Amino acid sequence: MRATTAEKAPDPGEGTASQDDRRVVVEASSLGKVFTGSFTRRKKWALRRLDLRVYEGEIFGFLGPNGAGKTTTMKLMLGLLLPTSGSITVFGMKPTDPRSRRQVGFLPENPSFYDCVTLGEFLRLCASLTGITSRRQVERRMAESLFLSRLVEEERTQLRKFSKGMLQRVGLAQALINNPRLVILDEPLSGLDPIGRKEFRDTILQLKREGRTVFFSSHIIPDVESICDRVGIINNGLLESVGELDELVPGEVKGVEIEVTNLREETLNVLKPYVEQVESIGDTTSLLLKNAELATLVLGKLVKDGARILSVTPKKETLESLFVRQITGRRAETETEDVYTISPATGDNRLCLVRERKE
Amino acid sequence: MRVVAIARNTFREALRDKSLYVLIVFSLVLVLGTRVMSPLALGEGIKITKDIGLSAISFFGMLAIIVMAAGLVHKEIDKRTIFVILSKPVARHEFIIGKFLGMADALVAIVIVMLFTLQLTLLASRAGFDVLVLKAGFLTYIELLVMTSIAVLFSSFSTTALSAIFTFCFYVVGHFSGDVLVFASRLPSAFAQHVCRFLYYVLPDLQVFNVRSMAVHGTDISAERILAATAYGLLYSIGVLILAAVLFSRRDFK
Repeated sequence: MRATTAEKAPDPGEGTASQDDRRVVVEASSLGKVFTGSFTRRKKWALRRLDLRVYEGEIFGFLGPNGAGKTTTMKLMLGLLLPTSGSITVFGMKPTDPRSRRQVGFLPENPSFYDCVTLGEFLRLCASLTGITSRRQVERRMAESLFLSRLVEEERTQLRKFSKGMLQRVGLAQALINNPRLVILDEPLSGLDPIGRKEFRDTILQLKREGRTVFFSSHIIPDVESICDRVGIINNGLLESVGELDELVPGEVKGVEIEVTNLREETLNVLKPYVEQVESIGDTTSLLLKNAELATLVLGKLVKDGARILSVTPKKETLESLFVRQITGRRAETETEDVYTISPATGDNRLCLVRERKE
Repeated sequence: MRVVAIARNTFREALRDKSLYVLIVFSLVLVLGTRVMSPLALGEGIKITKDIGLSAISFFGMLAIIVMAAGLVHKEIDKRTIFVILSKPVARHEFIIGKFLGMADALVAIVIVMLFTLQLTLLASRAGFDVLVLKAGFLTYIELLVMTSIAVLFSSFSTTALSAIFTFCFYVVGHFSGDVLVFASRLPSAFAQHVCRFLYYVLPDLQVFNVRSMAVHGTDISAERILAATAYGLLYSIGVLILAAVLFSRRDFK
């Protein structure tokens, strides 16, 4: 599948089969959500024209800065929010239909549970809510989710006694209680220590190996990069890009950074047309070349003029650099879209600059 | 099954709420305290015990509703536990009904404990077991059910404090809603009469459930009266819960 800047709307008649015959689990089409302020009644688009597909068996990472629309998208998937425009289906059903959540597990951001119940009581409640009725089945599902979330010995502990990291694992245990085919995790790795994060990442990979679909949001880019099959980048309610990781970030060398000492002024002047950025710290000068092909030429000149090469580092595009480029690029774009007009400010005919943002 | 699971969890939460025990202890002290006061009542001690005991069931039951039921739904939204519950295959109306039934269970426990204590106090006063007290206690419970449904309705769209205030207002107004009909018959304007009648049918008529004075004075409470009041209470509660479910199903949970 090709990476696109915004995934195209589904073809009519395509059904639930994708181009490579993978089953579509979540499908959003022109999905939009407006929030209205309680007192000001001001409307704000939290999500705009979202076209997205999540396929069976993949780990889909949803990246975006705070307030980008990640949680809103997840809540629309779960029927916790109702869409203002467009549509969304989960397993082919509208999220307002409770049956669409039968095979879904959800871990909310910073999860909060009933303080006075024990972990066992809470998981039994969750099992009943997902429709698991037989006692044997409840105990079996509980044992499996406790094992996957590494909480086997905590069944009788009251939830109020759990630390933040353990509550995150409780959230995972309740999300897995119904053996879901789709697991939605909202910022599952935030607030965890490095070991906790590693364990959580391993669990997500384990879920994928078991054939489940994982849709998770994060702003911790290395985590997304290390475990996701496909990534979507959302900013200010708009899906900036979506695609497989190696297509979004092809891994080709974009430039080369050379660190040298004993660099003479004249040599630097000669090399300036080939260099994008020069930084000097003490005796060491760092040269970022405009492209990788220039490396041989520049290195030859440096050696010839007596400079001492300390390191040569190829610079590749990373998910982080792509993310930063898209987010900052969009911000710059919206800033340049600001239009200033002169209008009468008050009754005394003074003029002022009024800034209007183009939509 | 899902409704039962939510009800059971709500009941468990209520039982682990310390304020419930404070209310029960206060009411028991009040009922048992009538034993001390009865010698001062010039032979009417039994009546005073029954009167205070039955009023305590109504008053402390209502306090329990204001303390616990008024925040029943909003607390779940505030603590974000609602995300966990509604992300399961639970319909919104199932959540509302489950919450109501859980609170109704907790009220059964409160009313039974208080009625049991009242009957023990009466037995200790050599008044014997009183069936009329049981009948009055039952109708007080139905009244509490109506108030619980109203608390759940307000809790489904407003904050805990506001729903507590609104519920209390309905409790006070509900005891005088019969007067609205009398007032309507004396109004000259036909429009004002219609408005008053509309208000009478919208507001709960809580006096229907008040047979406490009959129980105190030993007047028989007919089965028809009990059945009619029970049917009214249950139908009113169902109507209010339907409204609560409709409002709740349109809510966004940010």
